[in-house]
Amino acid sequence: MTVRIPPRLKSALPAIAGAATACVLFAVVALVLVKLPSVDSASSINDQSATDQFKQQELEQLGAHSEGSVSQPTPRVASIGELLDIESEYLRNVTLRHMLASTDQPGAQELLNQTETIAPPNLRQRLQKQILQKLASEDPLQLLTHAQANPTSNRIHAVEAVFEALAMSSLDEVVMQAETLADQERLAVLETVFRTRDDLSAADLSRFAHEFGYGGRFVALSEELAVRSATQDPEASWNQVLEDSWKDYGQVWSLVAIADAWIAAEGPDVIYQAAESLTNHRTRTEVIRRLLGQMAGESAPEAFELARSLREQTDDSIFRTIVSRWAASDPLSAMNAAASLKDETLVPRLQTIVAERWAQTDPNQLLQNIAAFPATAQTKARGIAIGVIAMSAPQDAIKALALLPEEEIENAAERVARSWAMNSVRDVVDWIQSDSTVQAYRGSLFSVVLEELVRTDPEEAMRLALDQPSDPSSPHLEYQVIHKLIEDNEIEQSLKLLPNMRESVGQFNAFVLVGIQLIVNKDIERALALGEQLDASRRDDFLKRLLNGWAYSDAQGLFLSLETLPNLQTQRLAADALAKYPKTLNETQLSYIATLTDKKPRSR
Amino acid sequence: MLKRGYLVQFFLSFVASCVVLAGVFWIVGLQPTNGQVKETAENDSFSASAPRVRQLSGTLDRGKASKFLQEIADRGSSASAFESALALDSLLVRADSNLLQDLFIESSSISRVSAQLLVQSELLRRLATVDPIQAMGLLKDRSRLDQERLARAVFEEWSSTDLDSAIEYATTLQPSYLRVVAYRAMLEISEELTDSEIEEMGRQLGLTPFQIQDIATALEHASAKSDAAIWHRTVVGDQPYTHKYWALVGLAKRRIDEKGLAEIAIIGESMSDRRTRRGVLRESIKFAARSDPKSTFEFALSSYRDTDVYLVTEALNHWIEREPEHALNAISKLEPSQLQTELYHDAISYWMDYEPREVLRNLELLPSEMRNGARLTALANISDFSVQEVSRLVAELPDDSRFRAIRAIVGNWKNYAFAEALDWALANSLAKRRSVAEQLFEGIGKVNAELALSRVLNHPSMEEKGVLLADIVAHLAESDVNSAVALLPRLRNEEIRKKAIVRTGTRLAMRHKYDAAWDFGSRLSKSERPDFYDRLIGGWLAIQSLQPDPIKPIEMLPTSELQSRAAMWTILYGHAEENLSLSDKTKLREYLTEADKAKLKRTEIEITITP
Repeated sequence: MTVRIPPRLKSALPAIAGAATACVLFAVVALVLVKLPSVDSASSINDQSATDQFKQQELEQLGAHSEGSVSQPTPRVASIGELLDIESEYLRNVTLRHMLASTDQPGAQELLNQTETIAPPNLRQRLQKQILQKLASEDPLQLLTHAQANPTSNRIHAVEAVFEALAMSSLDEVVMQAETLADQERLAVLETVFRTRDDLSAADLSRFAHEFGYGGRFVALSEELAVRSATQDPEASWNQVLEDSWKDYGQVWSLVAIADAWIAAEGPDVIYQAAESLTNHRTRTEVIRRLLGQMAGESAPEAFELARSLREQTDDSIFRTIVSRWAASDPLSAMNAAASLKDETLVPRLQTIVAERWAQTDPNQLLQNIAAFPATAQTKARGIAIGVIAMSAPQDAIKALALLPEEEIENAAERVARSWAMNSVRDVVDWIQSDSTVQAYRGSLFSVVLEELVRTDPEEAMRLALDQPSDPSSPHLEYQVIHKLIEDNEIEQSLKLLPNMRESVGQFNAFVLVGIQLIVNKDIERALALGEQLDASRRDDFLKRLLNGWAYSDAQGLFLSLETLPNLQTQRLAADALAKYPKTLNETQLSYIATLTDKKPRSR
Repeated sequence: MLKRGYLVQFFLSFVASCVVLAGVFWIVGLQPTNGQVKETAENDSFSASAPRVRQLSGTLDRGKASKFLQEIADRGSSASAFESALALDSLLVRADSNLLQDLFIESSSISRVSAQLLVQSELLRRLATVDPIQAMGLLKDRSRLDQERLARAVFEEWSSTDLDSAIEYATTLQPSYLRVVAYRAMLEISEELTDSEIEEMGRQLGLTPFQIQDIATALEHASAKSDAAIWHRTVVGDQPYTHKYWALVGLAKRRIDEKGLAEIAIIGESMSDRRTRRGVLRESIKFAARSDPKSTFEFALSSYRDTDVYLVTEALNHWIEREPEHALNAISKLEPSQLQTELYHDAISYWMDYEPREVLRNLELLPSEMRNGARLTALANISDFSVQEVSRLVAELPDDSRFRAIRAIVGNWKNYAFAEALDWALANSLAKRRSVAEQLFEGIGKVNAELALSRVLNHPSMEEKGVLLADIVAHLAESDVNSAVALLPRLRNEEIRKKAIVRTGTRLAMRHKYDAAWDFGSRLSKSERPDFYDRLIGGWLAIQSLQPDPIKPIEMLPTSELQSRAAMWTILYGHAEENLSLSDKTKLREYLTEADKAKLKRTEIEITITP
């Protein structure tokens, strides 16, 4: 069969062939573009040849461009072990990422397994995070399934990587997948979403947080976001925090951080605008105080002048903070600035702050410069310096103490005892007992260190208290021992020491104190039995005080325990106590109380 | 020729077809020059639909780098963290230090926060491989948060290649928080260091032992070593108490952050030292309440019997700081109990501390029996009253506590705006009320006393002008007798002047300041003085009666007139109580003036006649 071609068509054949060739070529190009991932596209990260080419070229160029500081040869590594030979943290990370870019999922998983053998935990964690990010970018759900099936130390990082990847594509998916997580992991997910999706509006983030079941966290997370965004638009961040549903007073730290970024961007005068916009006096003062305190670390005179101009809008606390910071680096200038305020109340307080801060920096230097203080402030400054010296060199402090005029000794000795006791209370006790310089002040000095001694050695503390002569102050020390033990809820220890106490008002009060604490701890029988240890004449009083304390702290509890009380007389006393503190009792309970007591309940 | 003609046809047709097809390709979006593929991500209510980020290829110039950086930032919301980092690598590894510096400056314009943070940290990490000092120079004049974040990136890289130089440079860093950041970053990377090397590095950087330990513990915790082991070691460790305490606080916070509120109870159980336990739990609650005060309060409430009741108040305070109305509402729903009452008191007092006006506006949130007290305390706490506000508040006050509330307002207001408070009180005729005047003038200093005196003297009409002027002098005399004396000549009206002296003397005597009281009395006319002395002498004698010798105190009195008066009353009291010896009586009589002798005689007769 022959095909007859019309002459016109025959003459057009070259043109048709040209068009057809073009079509075929474009079709091939189109197929390449559609079916194969682009070299430039992110989806090309699995394209071995493209990434290999990148690794070779770009990392070689890294070496070529690196102006000598990066001394490593071009890293060409195939395993995690080789990666560890790279010194530079940055280079190691870049190399790992490019290894991962040319690796498929099983390969990345294999690298993750290899990291388990890395001994330094921080390094291991950092490398694992990179690999987990790669795995999450490939198939987040598979990584999630894997992490849940194989709980390891890096599970939380895997979860974060998964949800960071999911958050980029679909928050609905985040909500759905997070359903299987534990509460704390869900919270971490919520934080991840807020961290990564700052492109979303506040309304969207709020909706998400509520849908996620943590609406209560929305304000706190938005506040964090505002702080992080402060570098970009501090004023917007500032307004966001001022306008959210929380009171500004609870957000002082964030406001300070934002204002700091604002000042960095626009200069210190912004502080006036910030102060103006804070309507609450206390919040304003707190924010300004912290800001100026921070500023004082670098430029104290400037901070002090700003404080002067903001005094009316705040209060004196702003000067205290600045002077404290200033005194750490230049105490004399700080003191001169304080004196310039010419305020009879404030200036002495600021001088004390200078002395305290100077002493923390160099107490000996403070002692040498004591003449720089006005005469009225010298005594206190000297005491402060000696007290601080006692922390590290108690013997030097004792020598300095002995040189003081008589009227300064007691105060300075108390400072010495207090700070020395933080390190070695036993040595302080020995010193108080043996040093004739402080003989006249032993009572007050024991009182100062007693708390520390009770904490470290309660029996010794009680022995010391009992060693004091039986004057009005000694039962007081014994009572202090018990009081301190009760404050620390050391009931058994206090019960052990109670019988040692000498008969006194303090002894009786200590029994009551311990008894009420037993009641609070629901140890009723022992509380009631405690009175047996007291002299017979005081047992009724003890019972009354105990029941009053019980009724005051837990009237319902006492009412419900009425029938379990040992006898009718105790029940009546309990009813009397309940009549005194009837606040939480209902009418029926009050009627019942009335049958046991002739006392009329106080109005509620 | 024919063949040549065919070739020309073929070529022209080929070219024309290419042009047409290229146009078609362009329209359908298959541009061969653009390596992006269309995003096929499933759309949902939140999904981001921008294309993913590509990597940089070809030659690098500043314009291209800048454009590429912006592209990474713009498309970061649709690219995974891995892809973004990879793309950034492709740019940064090829940039020199000048370009890196330029890009860092440009990065300020990146609008997405997370993209900016990533880009800036990576830029500085990369720059630190080339010139870490230059990298640190870029932090100047930035905010503290920025400096901390970026310095960390620099020091992590720097210390990985040259720890000694990094340490040396870190010792020069100011402000000091940068040294802390650098230290932490260097330790994070230099895991092979021994404990003593870690300590030594901290000392070199001028950190406190506490900072050194805190950072070391934090890193240990972050490196996922056994929490229980670190905790136990810290609890039993023999480091100074304060260090141990804050180390435990830091660890507790991290545990709560990782495991949630229930961890607080476990932490509590693991500590036997009550002081430490209390403090650590308290800090833990504060930490938890910062991000979710409501849940923290509810947790503390549900577990306080196993922990401590103060944890409930601590959580409550944080809630009150943020959402006081909600917190009070939650308290109102508790069972009536002492705890509920105490929580109300705590809540009100905490809220009052920073927002007294809000408390006033929300009194209905409180139980009725607490409202009055809360109102008074709130009025006594507002530290920036204006006249308008005070007038409005006073108009709204309920009648039954009106004047108590006004006293609270005045007592507070005068502390920071005395003139305003005084003018308002005078304008509203309130200063004449004794209790209000007492509040106003209590603790008055010289400056305010002068001011008050002028305002009262110049006040056009006031019934109680004399009483008020006398009050001003009397209150001032309590702290500064000389200044009070100096005010007396300003009182031209004799009656008012006399009233001021008597009132002041009486007030001073009540506070046992008899020397000053006698001094004031001596400024009265001779005829007025006996009455004044008689008014005060009873109290004076009561104090002197404790002394065995009745004569000696009289000897010490400043004037013979006063001695005579005191002697006369000593005799009369002694007569009544029959406790004076004859010789005492004789000596006492020697002090009497003639007038007092006569008066004594008359009185003794009266006493004798009257049984």
